[in-house]
Amino acid sequence: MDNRYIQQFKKGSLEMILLSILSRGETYGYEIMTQLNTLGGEIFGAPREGTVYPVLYRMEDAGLIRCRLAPAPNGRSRKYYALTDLGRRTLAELQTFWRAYTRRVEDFLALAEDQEP
Amino acid sequence: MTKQDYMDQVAGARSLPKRYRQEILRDLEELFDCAQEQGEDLQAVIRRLGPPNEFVENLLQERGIPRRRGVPVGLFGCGILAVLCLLSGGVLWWRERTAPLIIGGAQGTTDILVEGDPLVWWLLLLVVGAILALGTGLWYGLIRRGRGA
Repeated sequence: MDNRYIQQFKKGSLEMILLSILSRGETYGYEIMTQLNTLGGEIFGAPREGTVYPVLYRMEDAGLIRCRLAPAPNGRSRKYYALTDLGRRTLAELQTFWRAYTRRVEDFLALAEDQEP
Repeated sequence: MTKQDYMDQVAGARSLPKRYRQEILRDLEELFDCAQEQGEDLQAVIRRLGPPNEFVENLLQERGIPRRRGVPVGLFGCGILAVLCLLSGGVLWWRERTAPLIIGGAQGTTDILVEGDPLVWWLLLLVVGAILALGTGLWYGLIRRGRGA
């Protein structure tokens, strides 16, 4: 199968997934990547920082998340991300849409299964 | 590619506006620090970040930031031409001022008519140079305003 279709699919759901991760509490970039790898497993296949970080910036620009700098154990600073109220509302709307969407897609896929010999 | 090479290439990306550069470099530094603390190979992080130019392009695209373009070559040309005209005009004017001493003269009224060069070259060059300099400045100002830099 052409990987491009899968990549586009994953990219479309990345915002929702990042919002879901942040709904568990404030966290920093590397930890977000770790959770993506741990919870995403082989389906998400090692998401790349080159993809995730630009989306985090976009979400911050859109007001879905906010960030703050705090001292890190190594003496430098660490950026912590957290959901804003808008981010929480957006996540709730995306969850509702996702459930309805996947139900409908399942209906369409059932059509294709019915046609299989 | 080392971590520093990667950071330098991102910092040097001409398409990346200056106001975003510091934030992105700080975040990259933090990412590399965290990876190192966890004992992760920095080369793996660099592979996941992707080539520096692609990382920057992705960033610009996601944030809807217009790519920073360089100054047009024509602008440089105009600027250089303006400087040359002004310098040449200045040199010619100075030569006019310090013309060779007259070695002889008439003691009474004469019918000798002396005609000079009707075209004052130094004045022409100074005027052209000033117009070019003004035009270059306006052009540059329009470019900067257009980009919202």
